Amino acid sequence: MKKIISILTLLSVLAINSHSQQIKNTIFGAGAGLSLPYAEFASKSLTVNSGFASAGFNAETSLIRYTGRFFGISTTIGYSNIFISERKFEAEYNRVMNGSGTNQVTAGNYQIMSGMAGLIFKVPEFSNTDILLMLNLGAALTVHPDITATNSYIGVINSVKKDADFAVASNAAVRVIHWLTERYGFSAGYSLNATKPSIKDDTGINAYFYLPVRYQNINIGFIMNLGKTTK
Amino acid sequence: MRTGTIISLLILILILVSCDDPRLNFDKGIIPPVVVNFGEVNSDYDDYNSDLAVTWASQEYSLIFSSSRNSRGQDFDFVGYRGDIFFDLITGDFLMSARTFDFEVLDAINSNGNEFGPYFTADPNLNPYGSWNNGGTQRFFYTSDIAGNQDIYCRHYSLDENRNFISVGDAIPLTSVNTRHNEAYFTIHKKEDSGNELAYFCSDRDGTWDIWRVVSEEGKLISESASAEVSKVTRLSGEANEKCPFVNGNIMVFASNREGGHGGFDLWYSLYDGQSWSEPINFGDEINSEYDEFRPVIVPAEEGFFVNDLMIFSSDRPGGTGGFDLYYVGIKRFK
Repeated sequence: MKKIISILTLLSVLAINSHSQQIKNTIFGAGAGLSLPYAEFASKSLTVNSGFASAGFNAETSLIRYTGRFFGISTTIGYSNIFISERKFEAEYNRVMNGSGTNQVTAGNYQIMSGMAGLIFKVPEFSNTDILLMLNLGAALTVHPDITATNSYIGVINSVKKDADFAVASNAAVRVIHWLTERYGFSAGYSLNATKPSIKDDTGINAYFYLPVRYQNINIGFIMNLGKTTK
Repeated sequence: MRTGTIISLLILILILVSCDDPRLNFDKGIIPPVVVNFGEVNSDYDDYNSDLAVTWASQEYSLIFSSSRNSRGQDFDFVGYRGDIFFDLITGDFLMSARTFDFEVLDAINSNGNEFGPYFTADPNLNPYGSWNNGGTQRFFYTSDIAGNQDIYCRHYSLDENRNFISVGDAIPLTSVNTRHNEAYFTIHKKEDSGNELAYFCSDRDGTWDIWRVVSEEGKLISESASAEVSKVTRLSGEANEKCPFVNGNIMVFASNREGGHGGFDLWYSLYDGQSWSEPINFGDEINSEYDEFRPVIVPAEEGFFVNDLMIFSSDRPGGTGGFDLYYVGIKRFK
């Protein structure tokens, strides 16, 4: 922690003493943080579109290009790994089976790899800080994990094999950028992400299902100005 | 042009995100493996032995059972219900809705005596157009004590356009089976393939209630046979009472107060291996109680839809609506 504070302090001093100025029109960012599912995807009851998704983590990189004082465009590549709550799944099967046998659920994680591009609405820089509202659209490859639910009395009562699907993905994000120097800074962001992949289910009556994947990302990261330097 | 492109893109996105076959949380339906009071059909009075036919493809059933509700507890008559069976593959909810249904044949059967042990040979839901494979009439077997002791009768019926059971002709007492003792709970064993019809029933003609086997005359139905070969199934009949046999495929279920039970009459089953019946096996304390359980009826569920089979029975266990009630439970599938 002390090291981080020292580095940030040094960067701040460098920023204050810098005689050069960079045009901040092209920015690279990288960050990581928590992924928190929401809506039905986070539901942990046996209801329509319930995903039994728990918190996970994510990492993303982005490239931002300001096209004016208020606007810009961006591209983002992200990866999220979201856990499934096996315990809550089991609790629901226990409720339905009403004490008949014991239930066990084994499940992997949801993984979402997305690539998106979009528009930026930018609050003009103040106090070395930018506030960006970003709307992105693109595609996501969602990997649905193996899920197997077994009842000791009946046997396997539900199974879904691991499968993946590309689907349209969208993202709305707020990002706060604070420049420590003309070149470097850090960012904090919050985004809402959505996609709806089609997943194969060989043992299900419908053979395929659509799972609305909804999650929030809360990230911190660093940014780098790739703009030209002027004296 | 630009506006059109944007609208097209939005429509495409809407189509892509609007598909809504949700993830199923169950591969197949599960009939609750714990005993459920069939509250939709039970009354304050005794609701007793039944026969149930289910068409799984359409998820409909027909149910006829004995109840003393119509006479306010004085005597047992048959009452009828129809309903739907439904399992939600997402929520895991199992539902059996029920509505009373006035089967016309019951008006002809019900008497001042007691009517028990219904056993009908057709599932009215299977073919709503009434084209049956044996000439259009079916048989409704039942027990009545209108003549003093319990005897088994058969009444033919046909199905009208509403799939109602329409009585055809008079009641036929099974003279080849009935004696001056009690005979009840007739059930046909369809698996034994021969030129004869084979069935089981229970009788107290040897002092206690036992399970008996009857074979028709060659080429005739039992209800047409003037004489029939009747023998006790010694493997299933002990010193205790064995009642209410019901055969489906290679499994016979019945009620008995024999040793090894959980108190009163319990439900037992025996498996047929093509030659003989196995030693009876108790259904266990998940189904049986210290109270009486009677008249089990097994309805095999469609394998593509359900992982287990349905059994309905009656019991006077506490927690019901009064007297004997009907209960249902999912049981493991016997091959």
